Amino acid sequence: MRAPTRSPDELRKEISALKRQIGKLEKTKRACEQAQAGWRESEARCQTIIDAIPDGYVEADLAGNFTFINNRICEHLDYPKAELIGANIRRFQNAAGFQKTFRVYNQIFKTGKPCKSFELACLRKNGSQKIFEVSASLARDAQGRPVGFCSVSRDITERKKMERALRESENRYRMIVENINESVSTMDLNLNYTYVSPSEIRTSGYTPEEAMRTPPDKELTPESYAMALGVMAEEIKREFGGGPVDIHRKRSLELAMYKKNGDLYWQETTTSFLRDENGQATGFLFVGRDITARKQAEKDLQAARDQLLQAEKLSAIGQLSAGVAHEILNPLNIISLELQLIQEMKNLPRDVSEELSICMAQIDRIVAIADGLMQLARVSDKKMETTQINDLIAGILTLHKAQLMIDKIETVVRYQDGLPEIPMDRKKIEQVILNLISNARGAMEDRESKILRIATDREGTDAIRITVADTGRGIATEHLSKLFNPFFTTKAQGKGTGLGLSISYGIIKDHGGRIWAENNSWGGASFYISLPVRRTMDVQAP
Amino acid sequence: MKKVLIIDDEEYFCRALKKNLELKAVCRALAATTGAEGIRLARTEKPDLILLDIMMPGMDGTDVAEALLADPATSSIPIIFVTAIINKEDVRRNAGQIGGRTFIAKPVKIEDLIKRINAL
Ligand SMILES: Nc1ncnc2c1ncn2[C@@H]1O[C@H](COP(=O)(O)OP(=O)(O)O)[C@@H](O)[C@H]1O
Ligand SMILES: [Mg+2]
Repeated sequence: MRAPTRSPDELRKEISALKRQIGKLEKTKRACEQAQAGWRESEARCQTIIDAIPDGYVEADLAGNFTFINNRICEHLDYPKAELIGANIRRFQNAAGFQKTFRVYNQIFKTGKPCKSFELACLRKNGSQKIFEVSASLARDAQGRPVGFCSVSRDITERKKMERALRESENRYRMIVENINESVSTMDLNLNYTYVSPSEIRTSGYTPEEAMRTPPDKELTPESYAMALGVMAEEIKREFGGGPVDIHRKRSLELAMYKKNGDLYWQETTTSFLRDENGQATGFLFVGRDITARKQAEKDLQAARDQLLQAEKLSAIGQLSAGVAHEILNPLNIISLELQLIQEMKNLPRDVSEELSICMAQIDRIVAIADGLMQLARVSDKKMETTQINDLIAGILTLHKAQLMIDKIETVVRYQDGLPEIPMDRKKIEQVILNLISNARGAMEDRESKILRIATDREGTDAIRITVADTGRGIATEHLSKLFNPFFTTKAQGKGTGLGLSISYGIIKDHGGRIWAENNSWGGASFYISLPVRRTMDVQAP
Repeated sequence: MKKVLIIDDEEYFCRALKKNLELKAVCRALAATTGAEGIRLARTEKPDLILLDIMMPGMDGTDVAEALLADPATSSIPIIFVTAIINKEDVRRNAGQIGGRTFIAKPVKIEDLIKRINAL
């Protein structure tokens, strides 16, 4: 080969062209070097950023093999980077988990649309599970062909755990609330129900929905409603009054409430404020417990105490009375004899003998009172006979039928069949029932409808009950506790001695029974006698 | 005419009862205001009937009755207890017979007493 010959001019030209070329290339090279440095810098920055974000970042090929991951992923899965690069997602999931992953990514691949926020469970190196919230999209090359996926994952294992714990505690709480006998309800500060527990159906017979619809003034007696409102107003005032408050304070109320069927029951309601996380009151919480049985027990206890007190009072009064009666009867006896003497005198003016009969009649009144007084003291000498109470009552009514008819009293008797015979002093029990009938008659004197109801009942296995009810004027509340006191009477001077019920009380007590009175909801009063049935065990063997 | 002995610590009672009985001329009446005096009179006078109070100071009615029954001279004389410490209702109901004894309650209705005396 032979080099073409060039002229020096040509050569010079060529050289300077080459120099320019070199200069250009060097410029390009510098630019390239600069660009490379820049790129490297930005790649490093990118990596730093990617490693710094709290989320995991993964690039994978279309088969699910990891091609790029940030450090967070290594932490999340607890594998070194080298072990993760090239590994398939399948390795970190169980079958069910992978199935789901496949479905999601397949969808992304098919539609080309990113999928935001799906849950993905992975197994760490030590076998424990981590749950991620993942957003993923399709990665494409310069030509727009899909080449893989990029995903951002957030570790939500803790959150999930908390959510589950919350759900569990909520369930547990709900289970408790729904199964306890206490009824739980909440109200906002405007006193609208926000929650009523299902146990409400057991306490009041209302479903929670019904209870929420029922205004509180329909659920509570007027007195209890007023009391509850008062307490809540007081607490609201205290809470928002600006003074120091105890945010754990509670108030307990005993409320008389109506069941759905209208029955009255007693609830002990403990109320406190519901508070948000800042301790700010947002409503009321009520926990109610049925205390009807306790209330009844308290009432019974009180009644028993009253009866005891009454009994003590009676025996003291009885002894005193008998003495007084004796002292009165003796001089009275003399007066009586003197009067009878005068009555027999010859030639008495007519009006004088009239006045004398009035005196004699008044003596009879004093005698009746003194007799009553002596009976108070004298309840112990009983003549016990085994008696069928129904027969005893029937006997009394046969004797007094006529009188009751004259008084236009309708008598309704209901005998309970098969009542056990019980030992009693027939005469005395008769006297008690007669007292009650006579009082009922008195109470119905000026009434239009006069109905005397007498009933016998079984009271459990241990007692029988006699009820004498009337449609009379009833008993004033303030008198209920005094009825059985000696000399307590509301009758006009000379009409009543006020001894009938106290004697009856003594007799019934002496039989080991109870006597008490109540007003009827339909008007009038009812007197009840409860007499114990002696069990066969107590009967002495022959 | 029958002879009735009244034993009662109340002097006015004795007097009034005596007067009542005599006014009606049913019987002759004697009175004693203590148990001891009553027993003495019972022995000496041999009455057909004794009306005996129970609540008396010293020897009370039941003591007197015991003494009278213990003495053959007086043991056959019928006794009626006249007392305020018995319930009239009980007396009425049992026709005066309670625990084998005969009672009349105070205040005494003279008609009732006369019936008893006549029934002797
Ligand atoms: N069935 C009744 N209805 C209303 N009040 C009654 C009834 N029974 C008794 N009472 C009240 O109890 C009082 C006391 O009764 P009681 O001891 O029998 O005495 P008395 O009948 O002599 O007044 C009566 O005066 C009356 O006020
Ligand atoms: Mg009465």
